[in-house]
Amino acid sequence: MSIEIPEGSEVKVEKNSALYEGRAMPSPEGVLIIKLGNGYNVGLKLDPNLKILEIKERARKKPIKRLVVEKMGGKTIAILGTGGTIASYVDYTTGAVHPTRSTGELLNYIPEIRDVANVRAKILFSVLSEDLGPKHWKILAKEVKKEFEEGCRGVVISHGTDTMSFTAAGLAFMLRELSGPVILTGAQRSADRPSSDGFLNLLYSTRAALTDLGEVVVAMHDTLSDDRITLHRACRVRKMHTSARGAFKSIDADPIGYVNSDRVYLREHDKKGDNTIIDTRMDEKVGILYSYPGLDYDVFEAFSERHNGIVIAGTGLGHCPDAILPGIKMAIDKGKAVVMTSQCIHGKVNLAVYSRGRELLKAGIIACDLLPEVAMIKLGWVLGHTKDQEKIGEMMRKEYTHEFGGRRFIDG
Amino acid sequence: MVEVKIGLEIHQQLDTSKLFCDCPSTLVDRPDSTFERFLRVTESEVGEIDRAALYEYEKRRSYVYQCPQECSCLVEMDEEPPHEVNGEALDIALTVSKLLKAKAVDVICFMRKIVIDGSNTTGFQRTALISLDGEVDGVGIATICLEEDSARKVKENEKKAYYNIDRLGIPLIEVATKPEIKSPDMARDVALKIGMLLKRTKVKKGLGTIRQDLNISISGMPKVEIKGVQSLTQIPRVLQNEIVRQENLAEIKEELRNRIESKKDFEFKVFDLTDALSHSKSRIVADGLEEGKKCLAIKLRGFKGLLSKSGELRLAKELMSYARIKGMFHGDELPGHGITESEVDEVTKTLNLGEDDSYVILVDEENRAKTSLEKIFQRAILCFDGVVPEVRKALENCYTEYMRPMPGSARMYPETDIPFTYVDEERLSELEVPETIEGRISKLRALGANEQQSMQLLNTGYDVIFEELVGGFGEARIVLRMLNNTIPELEDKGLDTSNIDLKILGGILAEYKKGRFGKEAIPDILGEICRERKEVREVVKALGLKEVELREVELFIKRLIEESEEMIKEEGRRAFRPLMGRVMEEYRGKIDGKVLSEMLKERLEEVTDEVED
Repeated sequence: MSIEIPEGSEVKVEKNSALYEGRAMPSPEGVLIIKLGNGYNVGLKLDPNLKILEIKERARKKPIKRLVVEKMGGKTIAILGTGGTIASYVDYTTGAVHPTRSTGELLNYIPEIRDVANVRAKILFSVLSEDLGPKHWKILAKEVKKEFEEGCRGVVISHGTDTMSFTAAGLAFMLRELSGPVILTGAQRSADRPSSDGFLNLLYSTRAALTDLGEVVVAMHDTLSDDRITLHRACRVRKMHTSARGAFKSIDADPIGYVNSDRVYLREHDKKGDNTIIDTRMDEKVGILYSYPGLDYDVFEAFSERHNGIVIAGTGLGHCPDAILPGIKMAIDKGKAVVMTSQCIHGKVNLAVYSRGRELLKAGIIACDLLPEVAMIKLGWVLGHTKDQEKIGEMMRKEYTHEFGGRRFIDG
Repeated sequence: MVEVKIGLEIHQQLDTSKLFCDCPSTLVDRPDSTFERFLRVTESEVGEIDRAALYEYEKRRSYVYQCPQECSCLVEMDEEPPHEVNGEALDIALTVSKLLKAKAVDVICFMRKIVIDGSNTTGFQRTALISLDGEVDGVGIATICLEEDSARKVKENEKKAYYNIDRLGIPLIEVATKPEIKSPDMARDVALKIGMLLKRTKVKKGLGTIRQDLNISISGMPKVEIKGVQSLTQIPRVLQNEIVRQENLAEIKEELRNRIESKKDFEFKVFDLTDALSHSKSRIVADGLEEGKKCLAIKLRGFKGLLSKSGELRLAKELMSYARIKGMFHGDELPGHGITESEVDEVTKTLNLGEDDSYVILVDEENRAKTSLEKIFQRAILCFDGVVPEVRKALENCYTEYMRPMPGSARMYPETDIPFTYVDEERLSELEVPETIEGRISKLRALGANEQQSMQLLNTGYDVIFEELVGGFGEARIVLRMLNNTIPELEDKGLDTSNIDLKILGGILAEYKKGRFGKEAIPDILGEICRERKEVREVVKALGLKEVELREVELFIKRLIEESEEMIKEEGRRAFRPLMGRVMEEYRGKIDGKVLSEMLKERLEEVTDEVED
């Protein structure tokens, strides 16, 4: 069909003797989606049966101005946006979900924040969380430092949930000292839905941001109920469910605290200091290789050639097939670092129990009680500081930011 | 006669699994877990907030959901995105569209209809327009939609509402007529016809599986929506009451306009009567003050005599349901309720009441009383405009009460989790469209049901079961009795008959044919199956000996009638007396005389009927 129907215009069309009147919406190829007067969208194929009776350009609505009353005096926190769905709205012309662009919009969604603190919000990136990486972490670390230097009591980072724990771990290594809490939070249901968990997550995160915490934490729903959020240490947290609100769990470690309607509870934690010191040197050529039966030498070699540091998510206590053993040896001989973790996620890595583990140790592999993703980020950070193999091993085995699993008990 | 325009919205549950997940569409009272949530208003895609949504949000309640694992999963809990739309349900919606001659759209777009009263865990109901512009018995069908049913409210208080999510997600077809129905009786007939057509497809049967909403406007006044009319027979009465209510409001409007120049003359001001009534003998006042509550009042200018007119439909009741309060005092009923004439004088003086003025007094905590009075005042001012567009809830007594403001189109935005569904010609032409109602009736008649019985079977949707059972067992009379009498009677007694299906009814007939019990026992057996949710055999076994005896009695009566053929031929139904004597001789004391007489009467009628034929 040759007739152009601009989005947003008022249209009147006829098909199979039924009349359709409404507004033209963003439509897929070959289809006209109309929002009818009753609010329903319907789609009609652009075929010869479709008779267009009228197209009227619609006067654009002026954006609604909202009054934002900023509380004067009192404490201020910063909210840094990275493009997650925590504070987003649906654009009716494109149907896409966009992040809010200003403090005003944010406070319009969650006016209760005004009772907690003054807020300065800044949108740093508008990218999907799977596209955030070390380059973004570096910018974030610098912004965090800047916010603290400008007098903010705490920083809340809104982040897509997919890679939130990666960014949290990256920041935990880059922010060597903190003069306030850094809280990462997000939503498993986007903020354009009345049931979004993001409202509570963000509101309670602002309260956690006013504590004396000197660590990077992830703050998300504890369960499927809107009753409390749990604060997880950056390097022990993992997204353990694709869609549920309570997806984030501390692995082999207790959460550091929680926030409910009454209080912010924190167990033993690092207290904030006087300064924020950042150290963002990081080698980005690190990667994780998931071990599986049949993993062969060629695959390992191709993988190791592209990386300076290789983390293996091994089976069980930290094992991998015999076939890649020569590859591991060769990589280490070439000066690369190879670290063993476990794909079991729960439980310690221990290479002393079986012969394969002992062979790996002999080959020079570094065994770490780290989650595979955290091991990769830590290795990148360590390689940013040294390429000396002995030094690498030393640094990987040293605890910098509560990244090691603690004593194990039943139930993780 | 006033000109009335009525539209219907019929919601029918489908007999498939749920619309956006694989859970079965069953109701289960015992929850395995619960969770609690809040809902917030969000803006629609055009940057507007819906009035109705805002109204619910202002209540700031939390919602507690009960989850039976048997029929709910993470999708109902809003913990997992919806799956692809149920193809079977979509086909049924398209079939209904064909039956009602509505034109299907080419591309189906699911929408989110914002509903934040907690009845949907997501805060919206997923709904899609499937077809439009149909017709039934000369009344236009505006739209046919496919949507998910809401959660079932279990209980509520000021702070929390409790829902069971078993019903959430059951596919519903919504058929909305154009406002072309001219009378309450016609509304019932059209609803009946649509119901019958719906039951030609795979839909759920029984109590609560079909719900009717009405909308009505009189002589150009605004439209009012009435939700949740429980049965077809109530439709005319609900509508008649609504017509009277609207006429009353029109009268009140005229009277008010005669008394008062403009809306601007109303002023909201709260008066504290706590001191003035501090010695009141009224229980409500005295108890309230004891608890530290206050007596607050507002003046309602020009309302004298307008608040308690017309019984159930009195304006005072309207004000209370609008403010969501259970009780209040008002000028038209005082002195009374323990408040004396001298106290009324005191109130009149304090409020500086004019001749035409009335007032409302509340006994409550100060802030709550103020909020309620403000609501009452808001509703009172609206009387200046007569009928107000709003959504009302149908009550069991066929009256209605205020529910919420009329929602606008701002409540709809696209459900981005569900891809568009393209409907092609092939899919439409492959749909099996059920027979016409006329064709069905002639088939049912051929199996032994008369015209009226056939209509009832089609109405309740038991026509297919009837065919199956009579095809398998014969016994059309017994089958008709079970479907057309026994089941409705059990429902009238408040029993849930939803588990009665072909298998159970067939089981009963099979056992009956084996001579395990007399047909008189069938209602008891069915009742027991509904109550205890047991298998047919179990129930029959539990009924035990008594039934064997009944069967024996039946055989005895049968023999007796055969032996007395001559006498019966001569005496006709008068033969009952001597025959009953014989039966009583045999079973006196063993079996209830009433049961015996009914059994005999029935057998005798069969024979005499045959004779007369």
